[in-house]
Amino acid sequence: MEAHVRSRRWRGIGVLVVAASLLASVRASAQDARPASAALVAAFAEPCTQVELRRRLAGLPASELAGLFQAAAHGLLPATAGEPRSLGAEWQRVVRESLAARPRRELVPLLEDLAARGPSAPESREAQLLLESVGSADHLRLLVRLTCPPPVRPGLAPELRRGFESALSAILARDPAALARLPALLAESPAVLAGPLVDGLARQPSPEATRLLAELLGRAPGLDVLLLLRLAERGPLVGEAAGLHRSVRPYLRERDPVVVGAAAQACGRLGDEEAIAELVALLGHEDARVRASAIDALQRLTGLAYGPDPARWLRWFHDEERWWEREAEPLLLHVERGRGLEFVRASREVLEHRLYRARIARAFALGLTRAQDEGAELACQALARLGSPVGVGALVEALEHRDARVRQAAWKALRAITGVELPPDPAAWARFEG
Amino acid sequence: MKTRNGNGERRDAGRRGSALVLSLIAVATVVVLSASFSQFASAVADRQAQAIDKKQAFYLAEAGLTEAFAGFTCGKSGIVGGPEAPALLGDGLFWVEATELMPGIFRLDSTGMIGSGRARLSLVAQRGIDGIAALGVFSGGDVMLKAGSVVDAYDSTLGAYAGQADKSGAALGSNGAITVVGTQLKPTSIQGDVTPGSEETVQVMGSVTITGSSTPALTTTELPEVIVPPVTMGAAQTHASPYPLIVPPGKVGYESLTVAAGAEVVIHGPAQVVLGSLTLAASAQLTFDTSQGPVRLYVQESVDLAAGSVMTTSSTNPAEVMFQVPAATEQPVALRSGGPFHGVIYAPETTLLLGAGFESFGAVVAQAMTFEGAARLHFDRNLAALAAEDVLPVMLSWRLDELGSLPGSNPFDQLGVVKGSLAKPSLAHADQTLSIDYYDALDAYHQYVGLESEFDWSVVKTVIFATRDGVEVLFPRATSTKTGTRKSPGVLPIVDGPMI
Repeated sequence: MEAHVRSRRWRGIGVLVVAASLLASVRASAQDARPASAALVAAFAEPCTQVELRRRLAGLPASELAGLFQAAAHGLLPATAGEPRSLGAEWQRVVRESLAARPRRELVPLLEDLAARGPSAPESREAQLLLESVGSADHLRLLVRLTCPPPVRPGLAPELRRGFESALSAILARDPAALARLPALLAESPAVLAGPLVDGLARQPSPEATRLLAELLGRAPGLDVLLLLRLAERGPLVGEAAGLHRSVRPYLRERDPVVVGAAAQACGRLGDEEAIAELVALLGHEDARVRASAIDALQRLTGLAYGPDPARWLRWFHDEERWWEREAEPLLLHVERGRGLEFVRASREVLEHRLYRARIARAFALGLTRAQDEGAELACQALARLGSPVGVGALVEALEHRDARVRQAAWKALRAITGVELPPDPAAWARFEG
Repeated sequence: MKTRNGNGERRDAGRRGSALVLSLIAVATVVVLSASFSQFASAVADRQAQAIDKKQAFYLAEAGLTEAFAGFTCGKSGIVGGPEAPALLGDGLFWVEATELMPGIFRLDSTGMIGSGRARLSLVAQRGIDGIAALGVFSGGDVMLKAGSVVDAYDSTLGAYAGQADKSGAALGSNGAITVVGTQLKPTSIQGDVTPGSEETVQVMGSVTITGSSTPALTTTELPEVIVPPVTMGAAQTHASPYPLIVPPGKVGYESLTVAAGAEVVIHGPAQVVLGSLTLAASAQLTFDTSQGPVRLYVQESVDLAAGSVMTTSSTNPAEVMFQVPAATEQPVALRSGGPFHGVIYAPETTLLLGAGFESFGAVVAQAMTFEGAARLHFDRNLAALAAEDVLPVMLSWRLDELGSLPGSNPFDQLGVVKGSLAKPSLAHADQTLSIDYYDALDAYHQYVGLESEFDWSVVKTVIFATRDGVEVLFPRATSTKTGTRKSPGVLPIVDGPMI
């Protein structure tokens, strides 16, 4: 009997909860669909050109922003009553631009209010667009709440995912302080946003973003492969890359072959020559994907096409190591400090070796700053052949060399190494000096 | 004067004749030198002539390869002449032999001869393929479009579908009958051709707009089989984590891939992914990230994308994603996912079940197709343009086999042929049985079956369909690209006999 009473009581509570949630949703819908104010309707009254509309919207009081936001989100003309009419793409753009032009002190409360009551998908998308235009580091959490309002549902619609990435990327580009807040944001955000967060960060081409991508490795389960892939897409790094390489290399020793394969690809694309020994060892890995990734990485790092034959790679590696132990040092000294025939002979010999090309390139970069005109030209050609970004700084300096042939060779080498076509002006290449 | 004494005379007598000897030696030296120089010059001239002959022979062999390769582009066998009847070009000759190394891949061996020079070059070429994506929306069996369906076209190179005004150029085809249903409330619109099978018709019910032709196809369209790349299959994967499962670039295979509700799998290109089966629960997501390269997905046994799941692409270029089901499946391939999906779906041996929420941008080709709701299929006209490029053969490798000379010989004598009787290169291609449907200059429909040597190509204005030795001839189209299946002219053809 008592159980029956308790069951009835629970049922009653359930009915109340359902009724309350229905009421809340009805109120929210009513709020969305409430008639627009006369001022807002008047702003869209015909005849009206785009310039005129822009002027009228700029003059609206802050209290009308919610209605304006709804018009932009749903693409409907504000109306006092009757059937809603389409806003049209051009006017929708004007409304969005007008909203974005409002001060943040007016927009943020509007978006906070929206996040608190749980936005619909079009509202979330519109809010993302707004934050993409005006957001800063302080609005990252708001962006998360607007994209994934509580209670967090499984899955994220593709358009919201893309919108989140774009907004995050725009905020990161606009506000340097946002970068430092990302690790905390990743820890606090729903897991469904982890991937878009990494992808949004990966859209930033700055070295700081690259470093942060590396720092995020190991922080969230399941994100490492994505992080390694996005790191690999950064390509050979100019400047101080050793720390980054050290972050990636441990993943070559992971158990999951997918992670190991992604790490191998990242090492190859990032130009981590210190990983060559481990990559050669991976040629004997049981997983075919890992072996393929290791071969790809070795080919990128050495420029050699020995294919899938581990024995050949091993033989080459041991020969090269022997050379580095016994003969490399005096030759590199000749490259760095030698002159004339001595420099040419040493250059010819070291250029035959493909292991640790960055170290060889460093010697040529040093040699370039000391060499006479012909030696400098040869050093530029050698750096172009090595393809290592290590020599970029010296080559940029050589663009101002007194000898036109050296300047020409340096320009050619810079284009070969970076794959970018820029004029032979040191200022144009400054961003590559790193 | 006083020195003219007896001793002096004796001395002169001793010298007498020495000038002659010296002169003779000088003359002899000059003669020897001249002869040597003459011989040297002759040898140099011979060597130069041989070098020129060799170079010319090389160019002749190269011309032979070019002729054969050009023949390849319009479906010829690649055989041009032969040692017994080579092609004549200038003062030299060449012939080309073709060997099929594997289906669709040929080696062409070209031999050129002129003067004392002889060169042999070879190349390996792959025949062009008729891209299935150009078929647009095609089903091997009957098709029934429900009310409210939209089948139209756009050009992905011009931007997003929504922003384009020109939605014409769609192709809806079938080897069976096509039924299109529309109502006043839910009209159906097809912005292009509707092509039923050659013996079939299009049945229209209710409010339906078809902007193109509804005449039947000329022939039955054969759907080529899918070649699945060899991949070591990994264990079955079930992904239920809220973090995305990343499938990195490369070749990878799983016995099955099941994505639980709320979970996401991202396949990063360039990748070839082979799956035994693919299951997406409601709210599960499958994303193709093609920012670094295309993705080719092969699912061998079953596909079940539940309603509420999402299958989407990072790019709006449909050429970057190919979703293929190579073999027959026990159950229809269920695509009930949402999207949008920009890609090509190809299932030549099985039935596709397209859910009401499924929207495709690209092309959909299957053995049969069933729609659960109104179809939303948007054909990318750029796929037809890409398919037109695929029709061209591709050179895979090239090498020099022989470059030498046979001093004093004449290639015509050596081969025992009469120079005046040899054909020019364009007429030296091996004869084949040609079967062709075409329109003449007056747009009359003709049909010819017989030896190509007896056919006069100058009477052809437009080729409808042609085969050489039973193999379809793929014509590159410089101006307009082929879209959809070939239409029947709708009248009986004029049957041509031998013309030459």
